[in-house]
Amino acid sequence: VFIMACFSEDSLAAKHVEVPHRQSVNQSMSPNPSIESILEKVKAGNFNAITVDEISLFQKESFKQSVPFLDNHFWRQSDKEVKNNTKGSLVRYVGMVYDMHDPEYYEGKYANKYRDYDYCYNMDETNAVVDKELGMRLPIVIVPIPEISDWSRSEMVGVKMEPESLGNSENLSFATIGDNNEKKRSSSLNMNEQDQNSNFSNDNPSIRRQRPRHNSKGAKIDYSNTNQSSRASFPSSLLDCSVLAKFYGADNAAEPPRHPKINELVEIFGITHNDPTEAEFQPVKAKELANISANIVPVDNDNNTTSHDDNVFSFDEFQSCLPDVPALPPPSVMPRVHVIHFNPIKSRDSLFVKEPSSIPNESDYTDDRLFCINAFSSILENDKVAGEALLLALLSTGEPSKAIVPGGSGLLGTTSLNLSIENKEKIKVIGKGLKKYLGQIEPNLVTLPFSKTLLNDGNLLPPTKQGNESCSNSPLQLPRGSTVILEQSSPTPGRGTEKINPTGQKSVSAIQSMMKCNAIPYHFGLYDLDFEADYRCVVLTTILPLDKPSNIANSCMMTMRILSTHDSSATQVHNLFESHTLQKVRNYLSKCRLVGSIALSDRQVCNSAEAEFVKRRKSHVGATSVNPVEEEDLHRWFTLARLEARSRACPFVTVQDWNRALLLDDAMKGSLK
Amino acid sequence: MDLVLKREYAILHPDFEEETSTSNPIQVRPHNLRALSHMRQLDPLKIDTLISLRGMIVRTSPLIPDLKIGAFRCTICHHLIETLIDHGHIAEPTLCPNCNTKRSYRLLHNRCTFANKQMIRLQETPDEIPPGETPIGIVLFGYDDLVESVRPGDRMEITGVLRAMPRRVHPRISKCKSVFKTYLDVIYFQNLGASGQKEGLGKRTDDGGFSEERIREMKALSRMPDVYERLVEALAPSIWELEDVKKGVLCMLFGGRNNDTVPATLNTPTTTTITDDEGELTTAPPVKRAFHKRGDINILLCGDPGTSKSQLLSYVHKLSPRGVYTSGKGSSAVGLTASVVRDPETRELVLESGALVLSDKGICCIDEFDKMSEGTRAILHEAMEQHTVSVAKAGILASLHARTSILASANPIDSRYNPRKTVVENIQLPPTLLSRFDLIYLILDHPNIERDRRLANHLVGLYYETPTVVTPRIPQILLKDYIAYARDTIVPELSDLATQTLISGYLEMRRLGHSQRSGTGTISATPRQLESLIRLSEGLAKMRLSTEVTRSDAHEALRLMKVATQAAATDPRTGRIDMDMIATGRAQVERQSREGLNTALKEL
Repeated sequence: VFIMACFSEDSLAAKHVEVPHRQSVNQSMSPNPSIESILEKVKAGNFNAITVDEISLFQKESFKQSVPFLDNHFWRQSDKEVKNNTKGSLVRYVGMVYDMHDPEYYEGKYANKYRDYDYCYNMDETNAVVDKELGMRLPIVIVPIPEISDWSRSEMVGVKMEPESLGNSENLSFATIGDNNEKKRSSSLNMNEQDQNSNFSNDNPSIRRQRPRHNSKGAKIDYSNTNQSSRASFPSSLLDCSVLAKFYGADNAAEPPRHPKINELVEIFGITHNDPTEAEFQPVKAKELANISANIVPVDNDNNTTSHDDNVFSFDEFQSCLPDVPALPPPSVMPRVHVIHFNPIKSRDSLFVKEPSSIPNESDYTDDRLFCINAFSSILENDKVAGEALLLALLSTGEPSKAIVPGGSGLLGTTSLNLSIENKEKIKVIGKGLKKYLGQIEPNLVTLPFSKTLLNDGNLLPPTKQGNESCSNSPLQLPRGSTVILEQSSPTPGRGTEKINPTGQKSVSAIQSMMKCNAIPYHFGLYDLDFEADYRCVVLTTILPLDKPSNIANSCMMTMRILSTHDSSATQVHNLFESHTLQKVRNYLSKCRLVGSIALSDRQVCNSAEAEFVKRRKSHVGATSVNPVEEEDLHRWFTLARLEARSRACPFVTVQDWNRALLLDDAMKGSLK
Repeated sequence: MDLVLKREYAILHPDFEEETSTSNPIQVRPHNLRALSHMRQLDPLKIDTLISLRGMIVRTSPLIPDLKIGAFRCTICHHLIETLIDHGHIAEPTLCPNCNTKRSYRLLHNRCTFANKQMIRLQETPDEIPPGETPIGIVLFGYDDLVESVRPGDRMEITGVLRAMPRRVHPRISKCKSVFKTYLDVIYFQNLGASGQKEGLGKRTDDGGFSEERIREMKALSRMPDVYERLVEALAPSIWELEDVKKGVLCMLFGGRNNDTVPATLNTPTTTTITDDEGELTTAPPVKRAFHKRGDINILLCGDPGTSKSQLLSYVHKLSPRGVYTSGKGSSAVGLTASVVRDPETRELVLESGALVLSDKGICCIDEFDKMSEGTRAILHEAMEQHTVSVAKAGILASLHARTSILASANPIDSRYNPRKTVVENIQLPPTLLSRFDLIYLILDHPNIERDRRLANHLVGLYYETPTVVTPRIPQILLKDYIAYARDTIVPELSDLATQTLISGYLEMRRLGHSQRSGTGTISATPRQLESLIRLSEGLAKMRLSTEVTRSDAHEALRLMKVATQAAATDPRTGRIDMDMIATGRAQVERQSREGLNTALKEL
């Protein structure tokens, strides 16, 4: 006999719940909010006493610089005040939001705020929650900005890179990191096991700690080792570490913690917690680190540039150049930062603009524009059209819109450029030049070699997250405004003839979606979710788009073939890598990107566009044209016209911009014939 | 509550023996709570209280034996003691009352009593996840008859008690951290089916999940004389023209009437208590195949590139409850059906649902249909007519529901549509698959000055500071709700007049083939078209939230069919409609000429 009785809530007496008295937050005004007062409270472990006034200090630029920046160097500085402090230290950190975990509940809503946890001996697990005040916080993984360039890091972080300090490990003392209490470590703990979001894995001994993946500063990440088993790892570099930041909600309201979104850049201020009792202090040598994942490239100090190797996957030869440096913090433990305050970095360009003494007029922009086109074309075999196209591609930036382009991601103004190059040797040369130069002018530049082998091996898969696991390490997870070079690499010997398998097809479809819709589908178990991917893509390939219509490169908005010219009148730019020249280009690009939304207010432009569209359509009537004018063409012309306006830092499109866009489009189409 | 009810029951039925069964035969299962909690806003104050959550089941563990009564035997005198488990702890007897020996007891595993327990992971559904965030989840524990009652992919409303437990530093060390792990002890599972997407409409009611105010609003809309035009106008307003295509797509969104009386039992063990779509717990009968008539409408959009086909697909999949978008080029057979994968957490082999299974009771949008491999297409034959997909992999044999409408788009094989060739020749799809589509639309891009001018005007208008897109009179969210409400609650019946109209229309279509040619006639309509007409007219009735299919619905269905069929099934050589082209891949004229040739050759 099985009897089921179902009741609605109406028929049930409401359960009486003892509502704990909510303490008021520390809203009191501090008489003189200062860095000293905050540091004193942090030193004393009296985190809860930090007032609202003091928190507001974190928005001030002058204050920011006085807070130590959390990088790998932080852990081995000689300041005993910092490293011997068992309570934690106040730090600042800049990175990209990489992954979010399930909310975490902690005991002692006020007593344990900004602390990772206390140990409770002989806690009665059966009645643990009774008479306790539980608080909720949201753990978020923040990683160093992928492939950030040296100059961009200096501007954003405000801390100069000190590569020589990496080799200086003699001052290092593991025992004094974070907590002074050196205890026997429990090596079987991994990051997940320490936090509340590991309900499934808790009882599963088969899941063990995995080392984090590293990428060297300014160097490319080795994606050849990326596989499904490396989900619990996070990108980091020799300079910067990943952190697990814990965000707290408002104390006096039952609302979820305010927090940044995935892939957003953020500056956080918080209190560290790095318990060495849970860490494994095997010193990790840089050589070993390189073996883990990274392609570490020695820094050429003479011209302050980083030289990249042609083949990203053969890094063995570099290992001999590396000093033996310990990887700190220990790879077994990711540092926790309890966030007191965070500032989202909405636009990186505003950080890079150096205001000139006088307000620039339009001719200044024209000069800069011309200089950039010449500089780019000198890399692209003196092809001025390619130079201009590259400039527009680099200037493109997503503008939120009401999905003007049907089915689009809601972004307007982004574009991608496909450069068809004669042969693979030339791809190598041009690719090298582009990487070297763009690495100096773009905040972060990612080079993704693509071939059937790499696609089939799942190296370019979009991020995947299943259950409470961490996001898989994907090269396609980047912050807004990243520059991506997709380079068709030579196939691996003996493996070039296979067909693209389902894994490869997933990658292809993700890359196509990235270029066409500015969105990448992240896989979450049973469903995919589209995440904004406002990247500037440049594809280098030997395939003409018309040869293979289904090729990745065909998803690009601008497609052209590089025609090498040996024109003696072509302006040669010899001072490409001089610091003032680089600064000039960076400044120009940032200013143009900061213009904002480009409006189409001139009726004359609209009329010209209508007339041109009808005229070009008409010219195809009756013809069995391979390339007839379609809706997409008009959208492309408008995008080019808007980018032309942006290249003059002008917030609206003029007829000249429209005409220039059409000329460029015709020139690009002409190059394909 | 269980105890109180049991006592009351025992009073009413004195012959009720409480101890006959180890499992609790009488259980109280409260559900339909007034307030629905959200996984992101689980206030710590809700710990140890009854809450209700919505989400998608993403993972289930194998059955876990949960110790309820521990049996201990003294190793000296073999005295047996049974101890009940209390809050997860079992008090091991320390002193034997028989021989007075201390610490002489050993646990006898085969004499202990275990209950069934299952660990389940519930994750937010895609529509609930705020933009730019990853989904979060919570662990559920189901006990006794709730074990194996849910499957990954199910959208459920869970009622249960939220628990928190301190985390140990190590499972073998009693030291705990002041960080808690949370889970939900499940009391009731309620399957939401396709209507699981109704959210953000204020207080829920039993009427399909919508508030009374919302229902009033939708009924008022349905009574408007121009509701059909309004709905068409609201569907993808930024896509220019394509009115008839949009009308067909609307019919698909609303769907016809599914004549399927067998509950969702295909994958469930025959003796298990399951939760059906209505949320009632029923004991499933053995699987039996009843007569099944599909009500889902399949549409194929075929035509030149750059004609907004993909955009329409992208729009529809976002609008539809349980809409899934996939590309034929990137899809494999397992990607559409289900794959057997090893669960990274439990290391068990589990079925991971593909696009067709995930869009059960929804719409599966397949772009670049023509680029699908042969093997993948073969899967669709079963899915499109039988509404199931069969999986036989790694020792797992399963037949999964795929009651989905398919909206596909295909490009011609030569990049541009060649009007001198047939549809089958142009898109190179097998006729067996093509004939399963109710409507096939040809969207061709013919330059026309007047039309181009209007198109340019429309496109340019999109780029103005204030885009000149006509704001539809029906807001997007209302359209979404309206479709979900109509799909769930409206079951239209054919009226006599509508039946007569459909029959006469069908006969007219049949006659068309005969009248145009003396002697042997072409087949201009098959019974499949009649079924499609019924589905279309039912969909049109649902658009008015009407339970009766009227004559005008039948007329409109005939018109839509004619518009779609005329273009797709017209033989370019004769200019006549010939359904044979779609059903067999060859026009009647071609077949006749082949037969003539064969006869001539034989005679020779």
